[in-house]
Order: sequence, then C-alpha cells, then structure tokens
Amino acid sequence: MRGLFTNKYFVLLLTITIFLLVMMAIYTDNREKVTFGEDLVGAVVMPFQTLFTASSKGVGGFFEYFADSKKLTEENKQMSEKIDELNNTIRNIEEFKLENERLKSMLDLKKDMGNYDLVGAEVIAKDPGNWFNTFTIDKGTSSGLAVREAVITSKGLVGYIYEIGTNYAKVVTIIDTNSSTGSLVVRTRDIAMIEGDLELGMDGLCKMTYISKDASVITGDLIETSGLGGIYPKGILIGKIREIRPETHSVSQYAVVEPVVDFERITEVFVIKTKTP
Amino acid sequence: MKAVVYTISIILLTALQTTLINYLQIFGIKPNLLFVFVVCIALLGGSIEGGMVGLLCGVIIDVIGHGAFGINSLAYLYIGVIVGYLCINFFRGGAIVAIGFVFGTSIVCGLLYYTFTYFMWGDTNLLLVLLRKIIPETIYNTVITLPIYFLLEKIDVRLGVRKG
Repeated sequence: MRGLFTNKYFVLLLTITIFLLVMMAIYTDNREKVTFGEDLVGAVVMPFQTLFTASSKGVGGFFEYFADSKKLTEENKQMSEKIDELNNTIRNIEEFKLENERLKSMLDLKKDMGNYDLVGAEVIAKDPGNWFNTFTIDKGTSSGLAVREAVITSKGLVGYIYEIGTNYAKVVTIIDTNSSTGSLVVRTRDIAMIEGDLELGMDGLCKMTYISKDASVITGDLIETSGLGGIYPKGILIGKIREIRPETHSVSQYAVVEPVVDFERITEVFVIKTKTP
Repeated sequence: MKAVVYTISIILLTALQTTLINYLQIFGIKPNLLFVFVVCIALLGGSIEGGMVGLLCGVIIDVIGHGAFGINSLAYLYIGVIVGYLCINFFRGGAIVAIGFVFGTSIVCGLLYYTFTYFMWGDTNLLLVLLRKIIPETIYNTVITLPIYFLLEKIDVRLGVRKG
C-alpha cells in the first residue's frame, strides 16, 4: 500500500480524480455563463462543427440516396407539409370556436408577443451522447442572446437556452428529462405540465403531468405554452395528445404528447429574445 | 508529433460526433467515436497514454455535452488507465482484444452513466434503458472499433512508434 503512494503515476491519478470531483461539485450548481476554458473549447471545435454541418447537407442527401429513400423523402416532405397545413387548419377552427374571453386573451397575447424579437439561428451540433436531447446553435451572447430564452421553429416550441458562450448557445429541448414546461390544453384551457421522459423521449415524445382531476382532456387535444414559469411566452404550440395513460404508482393519469417539432431533423430555429425595456 | 496527431484526431472526432454521425443513427442510437478512440489508444499505448487521452476526451465531452460536469472526464480517464494497464500486463494487443474491451467497457460505462444520471434520481427503467440505449450503443461501438483500431495502428507505424 505504501509503495502505491510513492508511485508518481498513482499520486497523479489520485490528484486528477480529486480535482475532477471538486470541479463536479462546483459545476453542479446552476450556472448561466460558461468559463473561459469552455468558451475556448467551443471556439476550437465550432469551426469544424460548422464545416461538417455545412457539408452534411450534401452528405445527408448522399446517405438517403443509398437507402433508396430520396423519392420517399420527397414524398414524405410533401405529405408533412400537407399535414402541417391541415393541422394548421384544424387549429384555426379550434381557435374560432373559442368564446369571447379567449379572443380577449388572444388580444392580450398579441400584446405580450409585441415585447419579443425573434433571432434566427442554425443548429450546428447535437449532444455527443445518446442520453440527452440537447443541441448547439451558432448564435451566442454576441448576437444579444441570453440564458433562459425560449427557442422555437415555425411549427412550435423547441426548448430554451440553458448555457451560452460568445458565439454559441446550448439548447435543451422539451423532450429532455431535465425539462419541464408550463402548458395549457387549448380546447379546455386546463393547465398542466409538459415533462421530458426517458422512455418517451426515445420516440421523440413527452409527458403531460399534473392534469387536474376535473380536466376532460381527450386524444387529439392541442397543447400550448401557458406562460407560467417565466421562460416561455404564452400561446406557443407544443403538440397534441396522442394517448392518455394511468400513472404506474398512483391513481392519477398522464398524457403522452406528440410535439409538433421533429427534434431529429431540426436545422433552423428562432430564439425569442426578451426585449430589454 | 504523436501528441499533435492525437490532438487533431480528437478535435475532428469531436466535431464528427456532434454533426455527421447523427446521419448514421440506427433506431435513434449513434456510436461513440471518442469512447472507442480512448479504448484503442489505451490498448496500443498503455495506461499513461490511455489515461491522458481519456481525460482530454472526457473533459471535451463534458464541456460540449449536457449533464453534470466531471462524469465523462472521470469515466474516460479511468477507462484509459485500466484498459491500458490490463492490456500491457495481461493481454496482448490485437483487433479481437480491442473489440472485447470496447464491448465490456461500453456496457460498464453505460450502466455507470445510467446509475449516476437517472437511477440515483428515481428512474427505474433499467431493462428498457439496457435494451434500447446501452446494448445498441455497445454493438454499434464494437462495429466501429475495427476501422479506428487499424487506423491508429497505421498511424503508430507511420510515426515509427510501432513496427509494421
């Protein structure tokens, strides 16, 4: 044992281990701004990521061609567009059905959205592992973005910025297990929470919990943000209810929500910038 | 020279891991290039080289990825050191040994990761995680081991560290 502690490699290994454990303890705290070291790693790796992402547009097509799916992809795209269009129509109809109070709240929403600016950004990298649903965008503090700003696409809600560097920002999506979003059932105005779930996340789905006992949610109900919680503005479309299931260990129930955004194929997003008064 | 080649390799592999590799996903699972790289380096270069490369790769993954800082740094560091140690003392290198080590360490690492990031916080879907995340990733990692191992062996020969 004594010999072990006189071995310089063992002592070095022990020192590094203790150092990493201390770093772990320090960095588990919520932090908003990255350190210089992290910014440096970002600055070194980012040009390559941008290059690969740019070339991936061609390479992506190449792989799809070999999977004999180029035609299918095209068809799929057209159908997806059609579905989007139809979904939009359905949503519009739902909106029209709402009472005066709802129209009034929509006027309020418009007023709310007037306080926000949209900043377009490109997705340059995804999380390196298979565990988290996060990605990196090519805009950071230099473009005036900040932590806890909501990220959306033209279809609906994506997530929010959880860490930011000078020229990049990391976005956690609503299907990640670390994410929870205040939500609202469009038809009934019932409030619930949208949370990421490890199992559902594998299929690009998320979970709607804390559904009130009196709520009469049904399959196909549209879900949007409630504006509660402070990160997301009110009224951004999240997705629709695919299935309602009972909770395993309690009498309550939860809903499986299918987000409108396809997180696998996300390439361009908008950050909702909070206007400083 | 070797350090330069390794550093460039790590930067390129990191960029690949977060971008193009997403096009090669099977059932939503992608292989882990940096992980396989660390195991192969440890097999070819021993525990010191394995530990150093492991630490660097782990820190990079912790910085660019999500989750608590330090988990990957510690895991990759120890995988580099332990694989290097076992290989120098008990096994002789070779492609089959590399595949075996990547298989074993991928499963251990996946289980450790699940324990520290999910199980500890109340998630008990171990079977599902094993079947849908850990085992597919392990298989995918072993598939990409051969090209990475042979490439590294070639680089070592070119640099004059190893006889061809």
